[in-house]
Amino acid sequence: MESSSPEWGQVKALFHSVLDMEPSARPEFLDRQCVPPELRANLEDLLRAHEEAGSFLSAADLFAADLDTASAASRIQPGTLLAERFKVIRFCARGGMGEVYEAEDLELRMRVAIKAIRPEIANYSGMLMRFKREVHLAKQVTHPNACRIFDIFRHHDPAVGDVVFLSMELLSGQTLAERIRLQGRLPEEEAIILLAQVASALDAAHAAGILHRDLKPGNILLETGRDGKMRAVITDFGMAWSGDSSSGNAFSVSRQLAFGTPEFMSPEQIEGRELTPASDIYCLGLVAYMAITGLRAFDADSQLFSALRRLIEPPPLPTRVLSGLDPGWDRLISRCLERDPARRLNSATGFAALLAEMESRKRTGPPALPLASSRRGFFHVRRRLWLAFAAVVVAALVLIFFRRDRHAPPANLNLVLADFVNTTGEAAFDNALNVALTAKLQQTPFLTVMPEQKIRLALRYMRLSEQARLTRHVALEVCQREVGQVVLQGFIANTSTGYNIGLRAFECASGRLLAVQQAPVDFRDPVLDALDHVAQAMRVSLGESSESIRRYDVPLVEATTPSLEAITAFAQGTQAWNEKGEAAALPYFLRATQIDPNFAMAYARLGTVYGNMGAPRRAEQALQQAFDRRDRVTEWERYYIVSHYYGFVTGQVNQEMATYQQWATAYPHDMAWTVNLSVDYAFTGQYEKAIELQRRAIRETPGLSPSYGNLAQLFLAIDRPDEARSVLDQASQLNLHDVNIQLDEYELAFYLEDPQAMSRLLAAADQFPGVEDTLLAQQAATFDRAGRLAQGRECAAKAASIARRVGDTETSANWLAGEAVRQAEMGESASARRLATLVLSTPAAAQGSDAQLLTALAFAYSGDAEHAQTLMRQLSAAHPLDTLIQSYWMPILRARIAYASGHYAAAIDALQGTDAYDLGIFTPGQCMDSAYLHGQALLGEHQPIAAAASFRRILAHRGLVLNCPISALAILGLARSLAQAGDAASARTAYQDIFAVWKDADQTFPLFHQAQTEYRALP
Amino acid sequence: MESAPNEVTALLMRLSSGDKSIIERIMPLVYAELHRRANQYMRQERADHTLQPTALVHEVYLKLVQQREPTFRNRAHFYAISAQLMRRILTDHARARLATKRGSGNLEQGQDEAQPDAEPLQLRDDQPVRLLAINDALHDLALLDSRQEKVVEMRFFGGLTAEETAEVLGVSTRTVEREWSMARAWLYTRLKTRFNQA
Repeated sequence: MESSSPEWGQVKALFHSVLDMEPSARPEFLDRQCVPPELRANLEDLLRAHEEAGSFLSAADLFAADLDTASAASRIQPGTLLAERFKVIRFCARGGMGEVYEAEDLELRMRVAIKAIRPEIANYSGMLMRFKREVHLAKQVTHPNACRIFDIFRHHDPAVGDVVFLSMELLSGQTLAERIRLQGRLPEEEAIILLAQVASALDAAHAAGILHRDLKPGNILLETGRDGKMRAVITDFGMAWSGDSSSGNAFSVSRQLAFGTPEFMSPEQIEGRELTPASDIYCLGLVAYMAITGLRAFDADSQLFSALRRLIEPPPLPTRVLSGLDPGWDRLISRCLERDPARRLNSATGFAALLAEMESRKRTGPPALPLASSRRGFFHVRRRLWLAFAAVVVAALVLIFFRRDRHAPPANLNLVLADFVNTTGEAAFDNALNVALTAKLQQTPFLTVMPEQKIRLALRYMRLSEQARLTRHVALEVCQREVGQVVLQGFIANTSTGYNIGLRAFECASGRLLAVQQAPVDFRDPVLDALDHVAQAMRVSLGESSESIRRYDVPLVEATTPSLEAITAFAQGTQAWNEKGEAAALPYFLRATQIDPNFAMAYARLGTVYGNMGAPRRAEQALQQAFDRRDRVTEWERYYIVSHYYGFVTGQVNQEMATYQQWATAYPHDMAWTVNLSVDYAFTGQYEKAIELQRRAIRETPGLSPSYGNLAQLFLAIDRPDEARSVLDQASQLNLHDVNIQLDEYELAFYLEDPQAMSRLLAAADQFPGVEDTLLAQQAATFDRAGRLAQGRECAAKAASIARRVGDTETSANWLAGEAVRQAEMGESASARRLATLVLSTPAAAQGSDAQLLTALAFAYSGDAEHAQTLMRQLSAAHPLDTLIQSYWMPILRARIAYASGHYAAAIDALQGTDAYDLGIFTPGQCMDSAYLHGQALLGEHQPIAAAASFRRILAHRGLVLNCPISALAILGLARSLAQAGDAASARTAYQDIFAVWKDADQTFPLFHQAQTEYRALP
Repeated sequence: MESAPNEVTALLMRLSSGDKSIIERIMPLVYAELHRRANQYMRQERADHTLQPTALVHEVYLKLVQQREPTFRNRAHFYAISAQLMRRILTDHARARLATKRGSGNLEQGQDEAQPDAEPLQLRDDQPVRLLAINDALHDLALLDSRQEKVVEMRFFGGLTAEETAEVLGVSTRTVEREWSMARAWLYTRLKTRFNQA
């Protein structure tokens, strides 16, 4: 619409008509048009104005001479005294917000930096208000790596007008931008240190509710400290904002006018959307990229195109432009440079955690191969470290690029298996063929098939669904991102007599076709045989030595199963395991073993799934089946089966570790043994080693859910809750919610004394399979520890009934047996015996060793030596080789029985050697039992000082003992020791501590009343 | 340098063909850059003390797009939107300047003073007032004739030539010139009584 009224239109038409005429000809023309007098008057006004307007609306009308009067005031002369307090020494720099000077603060007698705020902000009260708000927030950021802002002042000067300025920490040094410009990229080690400092400062700022908004290398100052160490300091916090007056005019384009620097703007900033802490994280990613590569990420000819690339392209990977960089940078930076703020690394803390991982790798190098240990550990239900599903975890260290050296074939190729191209219409081939192919290919150490988790993570970065089909193009991109060398894609098509099956290999870097191998298959012949031949031929094409091919030559049909149906079930089980966890995978593996009772790997997976689900008896049975068929598998699979057999079935950790060692030697690029070896370390409390291996597993295979849970638990065990939190945050960002992770969340909440968080977790527990009963059992322990034994029993019963409802009777029995132990420990002997008897009456449970062990403990603690000893004999006979049963639990049980009958010295003797495992993490329910019993027996022996030391040892491991009753009973033990030692004052404090723990205890809770009587009797 | 993948190429083609949504996506960026440049201008001690919006927009255009991209045919479209943004920047700046002159704002109490444009403009012969008056009158003109408003915005605030304006509006150069003449005359009529025109 051009005109809003007919009159306007009429005037306009006439105006245009007469414009070209000679002025003298106009009146006559208008007369002829019979223009109404009013309109004509308007028109004549306009025509007159047209003649008179002259230079009106010329450029001079925009802003003439007085435009820059402001700048005259902005340069402050040295020697000027501002606000009767700051003496200007010299001009330093000009920034976006105004000029910076060095000045002497006469009041505080120190040098400061002064930033004079641009007059158009300083003098406009709306802007000034907003600016002051920012300053007020920024003042609260006190962090060694953030430039301190002291205050805001106004200096009144009648000559040049008012000057509003900030006083800030005075810094010296060059900016990161200058450093990179002059000296190029930073060494990785230095970059890690400086970026960690920047992240830490950013974290502090975000915690104070302030965004930086313009983080860039030019705003990071590198200052050399007195100790010669470099310190990175972020300047200009919160200073980059628009100063927009938002005067309500018709513009809609700039909803949020955040004024960053175009080269370092986040996508949301480019689009004018709201900024969040994630926006600063994005900038941090750009800074990190530039620091380690010396190049700008998303570089382009122009800023506009660079901005467009940020809006459109996936994050750049530093290792692409600079080979030899730690691949951890790729992960870190792509996590920061997610386009969608919601998918980005959500905190500077997370950034720092990823940096720390790289740092520890730099410091320690790759972890040493484990030594065969003479001590050994065991496994467990209440808090367990989980065995990895090793077959799925086939990560690799990248060594040699394929094309670099044709003459010397690479020692190891990292490959991505694309989805089979199946044009036969037979769905049976869809899932099965790649699984079979994986089994065939992973038996040779020459090839490393990229693990599922790694692929899924890459798909997420690529903005694809994790279930997206791995077409050749997608697989190539995944392969490039994850720095693989080869994409392998199978195909199967109909022919007149059967099928044509084959494999194509593509080079990742170029997408070039490297090799094709194919073979015809008659309808009557097994497809798997043909696939086997094709795969073998492909291995030759890819450069595997004939010696290696001869050595790892188990035919596919023997290695897996001749049944396509069984292999399909196996594939579905593996997929379900990856995507939904153990419970979902179980039926598929069961089915695979039913279809082909000789399918060794299906038994092995089944056993591991059972083990992880806390059903050791069934795990043992399945793994025994796998072990019996270990001659029918590839060498790789044999390691898997044998190590799991020792771990789950016999409990011989020495043999288990030896197997891992051989495995590591034969398949050094493999990650499969890493997690489980870490678990072995945890048995004996070798946390640092265990942590290192878990970290390695996460590094190589991000998204591997057991490792996150394990790592968080290990951190918690050594009282490093922040790191545990960070690991769990990473898991949550990856959308991992297995039982182990949820359990850790609960334990962390307990550790942090955050009952709301615990309730939240419980309330949400039914969202994930297998989580609800586990968390309920945890809650039962929490209640028991607090002396709320009735509620404890109730929760445990509920947990047991949920487990029973899903058919997991073994776990159900474990929940009840665990409750029996806790009731016994807390002095409710009758309840304990009742529950223990109930457990024993369940046939399935009576066979599970964990339930047996727990029941024995419950009887021993509740003074029923006879029942306890019967169970001990059974257990010992059933597990003659099991180190943890023989070397830890049996002595604990014997000591407990001796203690109950008043034989304190015998109890102490019985505990000999158990302290080797007392700090271990293993099932069922290990909770520094040795130290506790030791303390109790020493009390009985009237050795209060030594007893107190034992109890203190427990209390010093708060993150390890957590919510088990012993963690409370140790306080009571300490109080009693102190009382016995005659230290009434300290004893009183300790008694008060335990009363605080038991403040909501049941009225009938016997230990509480006993403790009160003791307390009153104190002198 | 890494080559831009297909997506960017496609996007650039859309940009070249004047796809509005793409251009609008990056407008905040253009605004930021224009604003930054304008501020630089206003603070530089220049011989003529005159802000040339054409030069400014062109500079920003060159900076953001760079001459190496001849395919960005629809430069005029970019300019047209830049003109809108320039109008905003310049009027904002004028308000700030006006406020400076009046010495507004009490830092210690920090209360928010009434927005200057909420008050009747004083007829003073200085540039900020003049610019704001033109801007206000242009708002009024928009009610009568939106195309004329656009023409004035592009040519006056954005410094576009008649040809460029014509390309953006999809009309002939002649139409642009006529509209410009009338709009300028109308604005002049509205404003002449308020300025002490020399």
